[in-house]
Amino acid sequence: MDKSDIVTRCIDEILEGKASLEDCVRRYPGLADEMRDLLAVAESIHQQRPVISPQFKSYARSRIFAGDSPAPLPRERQGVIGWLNPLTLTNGIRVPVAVLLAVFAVAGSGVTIAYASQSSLPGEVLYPVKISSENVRLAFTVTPESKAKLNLELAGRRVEEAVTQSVRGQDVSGTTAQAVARHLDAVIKEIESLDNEEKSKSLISQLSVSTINQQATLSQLIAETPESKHAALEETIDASRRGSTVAVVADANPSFLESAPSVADIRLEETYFKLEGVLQSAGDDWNLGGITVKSVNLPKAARYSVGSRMAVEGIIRNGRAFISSVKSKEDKGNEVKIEGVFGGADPDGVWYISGIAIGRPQGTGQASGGTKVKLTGLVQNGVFVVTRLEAGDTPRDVKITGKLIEVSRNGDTIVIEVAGARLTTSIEKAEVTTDSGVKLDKSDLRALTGQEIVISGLKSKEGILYAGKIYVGDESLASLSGASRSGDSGEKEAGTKSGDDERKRD
Amino acid sequence: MAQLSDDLLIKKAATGDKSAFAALYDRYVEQIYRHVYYRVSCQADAEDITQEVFIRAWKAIRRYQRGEALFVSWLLVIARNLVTDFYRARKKDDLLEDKNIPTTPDTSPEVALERRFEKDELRKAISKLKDLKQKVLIMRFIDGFSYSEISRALRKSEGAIRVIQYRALLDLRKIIGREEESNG
Repeated sequence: MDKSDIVTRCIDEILEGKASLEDCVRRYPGLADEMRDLLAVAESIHQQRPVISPQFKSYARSRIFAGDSPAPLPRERQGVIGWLNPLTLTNGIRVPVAVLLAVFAVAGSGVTIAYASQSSLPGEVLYPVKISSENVRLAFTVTPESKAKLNLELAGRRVEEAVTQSVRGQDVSGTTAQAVARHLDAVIKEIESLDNEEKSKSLISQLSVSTINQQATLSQLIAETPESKHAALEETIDASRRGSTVAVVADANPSFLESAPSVADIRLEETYFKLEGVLQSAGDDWNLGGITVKSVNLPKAARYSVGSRMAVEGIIRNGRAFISSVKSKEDKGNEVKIEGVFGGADPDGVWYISGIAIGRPQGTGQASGGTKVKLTGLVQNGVFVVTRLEAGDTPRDVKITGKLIEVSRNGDTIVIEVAGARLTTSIEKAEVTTDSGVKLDKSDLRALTGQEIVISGLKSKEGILYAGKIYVGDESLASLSGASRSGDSGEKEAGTKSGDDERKRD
Repeated sequence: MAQLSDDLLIKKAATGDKSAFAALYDRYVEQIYRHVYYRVSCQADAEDITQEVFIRAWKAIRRYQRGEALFVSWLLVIARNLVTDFYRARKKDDLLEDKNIPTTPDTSPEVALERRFEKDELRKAISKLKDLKQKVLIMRFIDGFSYSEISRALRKSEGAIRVIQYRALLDLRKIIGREEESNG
């Protein structure tokens, strides 16, 4: 090391607080004078370093996203030219007055009106102009892909309007939820119409990211606003959550979109179920632990093993069970678990959970229709012997399930993959437990990379997602004790077991 | 999030992921603020310009091309352009002419004046260094960049940057010494 190196390194160490001048002088006594002089010069510059105010830092961060989104797509940049085209509309579309106003606003002297309307909120004078100009854009967006993207953007815009209204202390418009649902439904319809699998996948991922962010933002807003103002926000969060559910199922099993799921359908999730038990038969109908799931429609990559314990998730629509997840589980004998919405009982007393008949219950009282339940027990001769009845998830607790992709070096953030989309989430304030409540250290998450985790209590503030709680499978404890390194974690994607009974869907 | 790579965060931000861009903001806002502040010497102006740097970067994130230049270098280019615009608008070409040094509420006028004097003297001394030496000292001690970042931004090896820094400090010591002598 030459002199310049030694002096430079010493100055660095001193300024970073890793060493004192005395330490350096002791190490290099021959350079003491030079070091003192140069350190004094370096310190005098270093002391001039301005300190950023935390208030500014926080304020500026919130302002970044108040304007436009990143680089508008080329098609959107042609907006002004495109907006002139409504004058040539000849396909019989009825042009409302507000649309004409929007066209006038853009084409004529009213550019300012159209521009000013973009920041207007529901109930304000210029809001109809804003909506009309959006409709004009939609009318002249041609491809399903660009229509889907524009609708996704507009759904996000409706949520942002709700946020602005709430922050200003105004009541959120009662039409927000319907508008969000309408745009999300348009996204789903356009995705369904696409022939290109890759583009569909990408749009489903975008639907997933957007709807999760919308829910997390609204959830934070609900936490910060008085209860009297929650109704419209809750309706909107419900619409976004249904959009998220559609994305998750469609990502795993695209044929679900053929059933025309609608975010506007408030009963959409009432047939979402999770069922775990020994797979007794697997034809068109499946028998899991004595419970029959009719007309099973599996994802392409699903693998299963008759005679093994399996966990499936999916949604029932139009008499078909669209499965989104199939996994093998550790043997637990004949125990059956089902989670879903209690739909009531038939005249024979047979209970229906998310549209699946589970038999006559024994060992539990009556549940109220429409409530979420988790039942554990055994099925014997058409009777479901309940050993445990739990309430389902808290409504509007934003919950996502996905694969843990990465834990940051300082352990403060994780990346989770949901429906093909990767989300970065702060876990600074999160608690980590196994499903049965065993508390884990956040640093344990590193060993669980690649495994499925559940985040609940997800909120978003200033564009950052914050996890409330993180749940990992009880089987993950085996991973923490080193089993994961040998590839023998308790929970595996279905099909990792070998055996004569293993099947793979064509 | 603070530890995820810039590349990953940029890629995510380009898809519209605000949290990823917010992480980039958190990572670089102080460096950009210091860089701007040194050049405009006014807290309010430095804050306005810093905010504008990130607003522009967010809007243009899809146009950022990962090549030789680091993300922070890209931000610095935006910052420099905005500082130039700022002075053009105010018809102030000489950065060192600006005496508008802010004070904090707990600073007495005497101390503030002394600091301003020291600051100006130091700035004048630094401005007498060769351009490259000025850049290295400012990037290292004011902006707070690492050697690796400076080496990428100035396209020189880290070893060379250390040597330049050492020589710049020696030169600065001489300049300050001369000025002290001439001041009596």
